[in-house]
Amino acid sequence: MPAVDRSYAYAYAVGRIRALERRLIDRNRFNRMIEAPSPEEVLKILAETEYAAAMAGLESVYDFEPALRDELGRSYLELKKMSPRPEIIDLFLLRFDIHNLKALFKARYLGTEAEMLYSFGTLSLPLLREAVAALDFRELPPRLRCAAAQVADEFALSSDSQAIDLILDRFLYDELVSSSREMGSHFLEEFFQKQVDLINIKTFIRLQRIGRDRAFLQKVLLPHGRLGPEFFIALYGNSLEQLAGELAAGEYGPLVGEGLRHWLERKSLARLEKLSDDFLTAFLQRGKHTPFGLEALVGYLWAREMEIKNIRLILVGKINRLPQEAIRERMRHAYL
Amino acid sequence: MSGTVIALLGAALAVILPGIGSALGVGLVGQAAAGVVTEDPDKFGQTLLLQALPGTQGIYGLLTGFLIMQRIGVIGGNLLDLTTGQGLAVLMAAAPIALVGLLSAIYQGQAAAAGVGLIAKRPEELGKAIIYAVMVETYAVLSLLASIMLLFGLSL
Amino acid sequence: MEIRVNPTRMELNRLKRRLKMAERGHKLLKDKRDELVRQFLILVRENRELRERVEKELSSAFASFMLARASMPLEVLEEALMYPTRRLELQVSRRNIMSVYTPQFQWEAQKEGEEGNIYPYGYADTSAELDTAIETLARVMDQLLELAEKEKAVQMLADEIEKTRRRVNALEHVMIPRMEATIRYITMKLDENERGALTRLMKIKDVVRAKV
Repeated sequence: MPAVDRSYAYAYAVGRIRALERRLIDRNRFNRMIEAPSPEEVLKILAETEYAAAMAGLESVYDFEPALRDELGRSYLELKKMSPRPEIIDLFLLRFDIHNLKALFKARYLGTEAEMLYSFGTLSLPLLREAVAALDFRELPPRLRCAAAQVADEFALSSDSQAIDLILDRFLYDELVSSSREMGSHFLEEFFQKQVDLINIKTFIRLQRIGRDRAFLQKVLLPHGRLGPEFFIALYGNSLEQLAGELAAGEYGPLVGEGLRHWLERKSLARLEKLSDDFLTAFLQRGKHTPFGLEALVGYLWAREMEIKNIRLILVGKINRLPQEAIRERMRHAYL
Repeated sequence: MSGTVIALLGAALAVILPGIGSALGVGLVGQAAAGVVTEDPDKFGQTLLLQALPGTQGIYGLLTGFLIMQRIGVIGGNLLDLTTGQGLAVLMAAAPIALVGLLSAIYQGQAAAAGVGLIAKRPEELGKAIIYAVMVETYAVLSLLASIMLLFGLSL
Repeated sequence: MEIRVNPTRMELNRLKRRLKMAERGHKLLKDKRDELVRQFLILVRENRELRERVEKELSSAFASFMLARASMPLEVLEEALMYPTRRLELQVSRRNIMSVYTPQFQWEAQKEGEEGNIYPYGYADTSAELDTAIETLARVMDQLLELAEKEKAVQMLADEIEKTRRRVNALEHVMIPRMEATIRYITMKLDENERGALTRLMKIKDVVRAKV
């Protein structure tokens, strides 16, 4: 299989993305949104942007979520159409399949109907719905089939709903890293590995706080990170400063250091979560300048994700009258 | 006769290689430009300008090819009978524009495609985008110059 | 005040008995009211303290929940919290405060799935702010039930106090005065009858004596 990272085949897609990037919401506009006196004002500012169409049909500000979801789906599907290798975008869409599966499994075991599913995963909703309803996974792709069967077995044994999420999350990141490795994309592999590391660091702190044991940590840690599970397991139970110390020299040093400082002062991981996203944004920002390559596509998708995250943060904040400072400190860096 | 064939080979390569390079370069810029114009149709004129830039190498190649043909008499009608040495000399004279033309067209295409990305974001920077791409042109021009000087310097 | 009774001695006796009973009832009801008010005040004080505590906890839980909401897509949040980790079994018994039956809750949390885990979601796509919200909410749950129990008791006691107070007032200002008036009326009527009879007797006696 030819290398997917860099190829002239991306010229068209990159050209389009350069034009699309101009329409991302810039810092100035975000600032205006943060300073807006009411959620309605935020919507008015959004109406000046790409979101105008999506936000136009809103009955009230409280219904903004479906609009954001549709916008996100539109971006993904558009990129899939323009990408010379649609299977790469599928890799990013897998997350939505996994979400749908989790919700369907839980709904099945609760005896209810699953709501809030994503319509733009790689697998069609009726297919997933039938598979989960009958607990018959033959129609699913082979590796997903195993994971789904594992979920069903595990739940039958323990009726532990958390196991559904844990198994499927594990599968997702396993699949993302291994698939990008198989496609021969170092860039994607590195990106997903960094994501895994950041999630593992966060999980480590969260589990330590709620007081779970080492065996549980082992079960939850995601595979294929650049920091192996052994790294975390060996440190588990020690003070968090030690974790920060171990990581200080590495690329995650600054963000973990600052995130933990904030955690100790305020008992909130919000800072760490924000810095993790910013870290990945910075990693992807190199895609801003590659004339031919996957980086531009992935960078743009990530930029959209962050943009939507920021819009949600501002809208929820405004609806609940969160002080501007609290919104501002959680805002993700703009990709631009 | 063999020397004439080698000289003709030189003429052919002088046309073929830069032609391939230009086609690749122009095609690449065209793709990037099409992407931009999909989202922003007003950019057609600006992107067309950039797309044309990697096309010059093909013209230089053709020019060199004509010169060789004229020198060895293909155009005049009385084909010169060259020695092998003379034929090789003509081939060598064609080499600069053939090779540099091929590669510079491709790289100029890349620079111009990047320029297309640049003007997609900042339309006011068209001038700079062109300058970056034109810098590559320098080397195509230099090699054309070398090829022409070599051709005229040869005594056939 | 219209009194339509037969001014008979029997009626008088009956009324006197009723008055006595009413007076006793009045005293008892007054005692009951005082005791109810005392209990009520205690309960209200407890309730207020509990309520303040619960409100503080709840508002902090909601604040962290809101932050979690702000940092996760609604779909993810919904999925994360879809399947409960605990099933609460609530049993209601009754407690007798001055013959007011207030509810008393007994609850038992049945763990679903893994022992002692109140977080029903995975860690990869959820925000840590959700942990805080769930933790606070789980802590506040017990107090919330207790508050519901107290709140209901306070409400029922207030109703009962109101009812008792009305009864006391009715006895004190209507029933008892009315009965007393009736008794007075019958007594007067009887006395008058008595005097009439006496006069008649004396008259008859005079007539008889004159004839003889």
